[in-house]
Amino acid sequence: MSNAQRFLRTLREQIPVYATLIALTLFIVVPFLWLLTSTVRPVAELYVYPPRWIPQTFTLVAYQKAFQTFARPLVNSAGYGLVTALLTLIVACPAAYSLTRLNYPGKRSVTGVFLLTQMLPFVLLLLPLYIIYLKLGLYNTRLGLIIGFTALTVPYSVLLLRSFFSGLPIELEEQAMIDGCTRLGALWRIVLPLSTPVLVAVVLSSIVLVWNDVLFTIFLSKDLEVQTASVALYRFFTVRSASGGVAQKEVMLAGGVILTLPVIVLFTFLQKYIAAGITAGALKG
Amino acid sequence: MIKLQAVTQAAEHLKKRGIFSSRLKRDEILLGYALLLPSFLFIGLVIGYPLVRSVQLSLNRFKLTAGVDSEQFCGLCNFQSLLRDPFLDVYLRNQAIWVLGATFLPILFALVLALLMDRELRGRWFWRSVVLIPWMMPIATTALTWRWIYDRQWGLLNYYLRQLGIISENVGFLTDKLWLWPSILLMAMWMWFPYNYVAILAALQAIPKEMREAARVDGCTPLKEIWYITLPSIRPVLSLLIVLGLIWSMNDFTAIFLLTEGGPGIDSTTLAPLVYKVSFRYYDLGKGAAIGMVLMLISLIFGAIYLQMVKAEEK
Repeated sequence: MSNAQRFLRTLREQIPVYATLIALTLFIVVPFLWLLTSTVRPVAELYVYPPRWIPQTFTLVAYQKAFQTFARPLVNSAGYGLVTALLTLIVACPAAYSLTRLNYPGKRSVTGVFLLTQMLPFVLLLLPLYIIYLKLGLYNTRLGLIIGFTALTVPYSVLLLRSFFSGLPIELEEQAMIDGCTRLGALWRIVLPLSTPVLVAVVLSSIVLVWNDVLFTIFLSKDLEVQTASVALYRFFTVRSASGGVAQKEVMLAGGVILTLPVIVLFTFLQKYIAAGITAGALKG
Repeated sequence: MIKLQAVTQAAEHLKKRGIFSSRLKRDEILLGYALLLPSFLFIGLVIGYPLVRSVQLSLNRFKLTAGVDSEQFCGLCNFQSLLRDPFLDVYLRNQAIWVLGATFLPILFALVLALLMDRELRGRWFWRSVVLIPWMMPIATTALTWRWIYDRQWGLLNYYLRQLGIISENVGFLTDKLWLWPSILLMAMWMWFPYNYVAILAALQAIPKEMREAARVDGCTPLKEIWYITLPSIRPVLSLLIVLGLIWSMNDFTAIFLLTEGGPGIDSTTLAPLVYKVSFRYYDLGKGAAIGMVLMLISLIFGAIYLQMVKAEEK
């Protein structure tokens, strides 16, 4: 009897929980699933009323077209992402090391500056930057975009690395330096190898940031030849003429899926590193 | 999330001094600055100098239509022109709707979801992966997807709302004044709740189990438990998320630009897209910079509040 009562009670408590959870989950997955199912059908089935969740004919033709359309921008995105990530590491690691291991006047303000950059409206900065880029000949160039992206990723990467470095035991470095290692040697041989999780987190977030960026690319370039896949997608779905008048819905939607896949793959394979990076930061509080 | 962590951490550590002490003071100082130099070159070129130049631009009359050399000091003329703008109230109203909606809706959704998920669940792995979907979608894909869902003729939402009898004929969710903001904010909620969710869930899991058990033994109903135990315990995280949300949504350009381009007309134009419009469509760089300055000053006020909160946390 008491068992049955307990069961009923759990049931009464559980049902609303699961019901709400399912409703919220539907709201979360429906847009994604609708995007997916819209891409695996012939165009004719895209424009039907009522909308069909399961297409009558299954085809991947949209993806084939999307790969052709977005080939160049996709390569651009990947290239910018990798170069930016590498540059970010080269620039941010020494800065973070400097902030955690060395003493000099103005250190607190430096951290403050990095923090401040996270609160600025970039749309304001891009205005003069556009003028500067025109003058320096960086406008609409790959180099210009990479410089912009790197400036975008460096501040928070420094902050992230800094909180990780400051949690590493200092004794190992002291030992190494007593044994004749220089400071930079200690950074290279001791600190960096111990920091793999947070380094992966920095690389990953830099790549994703570049991959998703729209703002910098729109302001600092004009030709699809040098632009990222995110911006190419945006241009195709807003400005029909950008795609030579052949902007087809199913191609754009398939392009949207193609754009999402690498991010999912990165997240899935590197999940433990991201988690490690985050908890490492969180534990230092 | 990573960004959120980094910012929070840095603020918390602002006060701490370096741990190493060295006898070679001057070398240490020089090395310290030298290691910072590369990062400051990037930040100086892309953020620092443009910041100074923005201040200057906002005080100059500079219309590209009058020629590229037409830049001339004019004091506060751009700010005056902004104050006299006949559509100023529309922009400010849009900005208020956007900032409040895009901050609180995702946090609210995340809170409800986190409260539901903070328990033994069947198929935990499934629920967790689902929650991350909007986070992994690039914003260009997100905007495209929602535009397709909101499509006037073939959109999914029109179909379902008609089935439910809420609307009798198809509406243009992104063109009809009544539906415009709810539609924009629905997308904002969908794409921005995940990082709030992760932060809130982590805070929930840090609440000692004994507290809840004690509450339950004392006869607390689940709702009372949430109100008296759970919410007060996660209040610090919630207020941080709110302030950061306010700052980031205030400055956000991309979401609205990709979904509606500020339209129809100016009906969804907030201040960040307005900076772009005024500068690159009307070629009035001075006024564009002035609007940006207003935006920046408000952000900095919120930024200062944020830093105060982090400091108060420390004590």
